[in-house]
Amino acid sequence: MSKLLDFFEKRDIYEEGNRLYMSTSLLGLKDDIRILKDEFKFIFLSDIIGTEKSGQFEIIYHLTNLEFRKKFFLNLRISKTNTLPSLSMYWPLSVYHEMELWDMLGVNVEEGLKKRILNIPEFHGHPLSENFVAAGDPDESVFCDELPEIHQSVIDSERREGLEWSSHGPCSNNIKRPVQLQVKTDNDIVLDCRPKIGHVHRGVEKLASELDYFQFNIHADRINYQSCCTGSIVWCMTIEQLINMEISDRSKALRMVFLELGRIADHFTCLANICSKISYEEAYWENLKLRDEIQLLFNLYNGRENVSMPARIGGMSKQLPYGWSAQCMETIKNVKSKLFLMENELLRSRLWMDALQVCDITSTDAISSGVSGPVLRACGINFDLRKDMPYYFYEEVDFEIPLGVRGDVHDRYLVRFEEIKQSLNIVTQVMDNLPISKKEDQEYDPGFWFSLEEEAMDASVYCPVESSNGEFGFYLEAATNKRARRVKVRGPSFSHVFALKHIMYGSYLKELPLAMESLNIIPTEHDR
Amino acid sequence: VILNRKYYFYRNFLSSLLIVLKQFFSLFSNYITGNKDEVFHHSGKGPPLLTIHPDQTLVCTSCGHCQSICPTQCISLTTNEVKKAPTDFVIDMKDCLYCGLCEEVCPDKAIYMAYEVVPIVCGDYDWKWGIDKLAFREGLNRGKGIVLKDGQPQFQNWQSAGDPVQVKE
Repeated sequence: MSKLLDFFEKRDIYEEGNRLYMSTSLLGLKDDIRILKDEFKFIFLSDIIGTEKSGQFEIIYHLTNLEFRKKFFLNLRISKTNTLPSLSMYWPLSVYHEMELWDMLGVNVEEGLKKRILNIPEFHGHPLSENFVAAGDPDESVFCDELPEIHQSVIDSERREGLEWSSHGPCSNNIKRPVQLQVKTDNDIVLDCRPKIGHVHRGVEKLASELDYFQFNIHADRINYQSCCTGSIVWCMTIEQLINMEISDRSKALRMVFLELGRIADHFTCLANICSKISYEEAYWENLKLRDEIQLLFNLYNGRENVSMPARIGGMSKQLPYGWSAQCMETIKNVKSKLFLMENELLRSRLWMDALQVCDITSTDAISSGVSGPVLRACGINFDLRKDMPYYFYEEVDFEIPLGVRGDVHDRYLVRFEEIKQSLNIVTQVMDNLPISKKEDQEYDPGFWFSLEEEAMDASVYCPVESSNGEFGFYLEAATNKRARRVKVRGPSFSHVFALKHIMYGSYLKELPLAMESLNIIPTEHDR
Repeated sequence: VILNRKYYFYRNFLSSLLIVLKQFFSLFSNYITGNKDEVFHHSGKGPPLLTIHPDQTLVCTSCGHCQSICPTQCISLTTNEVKKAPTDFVIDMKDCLYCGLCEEVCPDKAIYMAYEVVPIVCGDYDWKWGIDKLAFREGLNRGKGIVLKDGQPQFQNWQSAGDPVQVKE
């Protein structure tokens, strides 16, 4: 990495922990990207973030080096009239990020990419730009009078040649997610798959710039509803890093416990869905029962299950209730014995393995499409933020990262199965060495937020964690120390949806729902 | 760590037969002992409630903390400044997320999240709950309301505020 610093010596590059920041110009963008990708191996495009600042657009390219565990933030400032060059020759799936830039912000991207991706095609204006005025109820001022333009010229021409295009979803019995998939098939073998997202777009990022940090906590938690509490904990972590706030060791340890319990609950849901898709009904119910046992722990702590919100800015919402840790230990014992049964009876069965060894993805495709989490690890790539960029006490805890070989559904199942075991180990280790708190009755002070005075602030922060599906984090630009100017959610499902194209290529159409479930795509994460 | 190598090979015939036999006999044993595995529980937090003094007046002093903290701004509050009490307290229940921030922030313990189950009704249901529904609805101590005594709300059970409402059509 010292080579990199020497190479860009004349530019204003600076290093902070495992992150590197540099700014570039419009002319030098493609050269910089090429050098970073080819010579310094920043081969993973995590995200493209766009903000509007004093009449200019600021585009931030967020790259990752998987080998040296570094993150690179490349800033680019362009005026509103300049066109932004596309990076599709380096990362084919970057076009979807660029379509989002035009859709939400109005950045002048290349001509073919000016399509709506999150909003409906009839929508006027760009909701995150500064001079956007919401029109209240949807009436003539928002929707145009003309009939919606159908973007199906390519599909129509191929239909005339004899190739079949079929549309699946958003309200389908097989694919239980609000995603529309247009699939090109030749004798039941899939050749191309184009997802169309945006059916549950709720404008969370717009909402985040209107509410204050304390209020947005529950909305952050609702972004990933399956893993119980991850969003809330990540949001509080981000804010605490922004305003330089220290929290007690006990609440750090408790947050680790809840992160791991949320991961277990999410993985069980995913395993249950995979089992139901190949009609193993009994395994489906067994997995759901185990998920319910984990969720009971959230219910006992905070009174809620799916959107639990245990974290607050400055600590946890309350002390552990009486008898909670005993209940937690008993649940872990139960779950471990059930896992042992499942491992003996379900895995290695002939029918089971034949049904699951389909829909594989190569590691090069996975990296170029920005896939992260268990799906990336199932291809054999060792990248986990808990080990590589540790937060809280993950350095001091003993655990291992399972890796797959082929990257098919069977490997994804095994990786998730092994991760549950490792997470249970982490929970027992942390609960054994839980630090003793000094405050008696409550973990944080609710009056603190009201007493804090609002003052102007110009800072940005990005703070990712390894959620159950991959890298999950909030990029936040602060206007004051209570309100944000721009928040960008980096959800793993956004990349996973578009990676379906690589995963489904060459496999049968009947395996489509199985591939969807094995990726564990969460619609509120990619639609936001 | 790479996963265990045995996962990638088929199971042999004898062990499969053993598992099938075990499953077959477990059907009988489950039938005799009865299935005890099923766990049913409902999510804990219900709609908000307002506590009252023994003389049937509201505890709320209308300081406005809950109104300013609410993530969806579904609380609307009009105050009587002379008496320091709310003249009107309306919660729009179709916006409420049941997050419980109002309960945490309240300095007087005037608002709580109930544990009762309230049926969701479509059509011309009145989503805006006023004081009559928030403090004296059917589920709260059979319409008498929850009294705040010595800084503690007098719930009937330690976990449930009021009985579950009987659904009538």
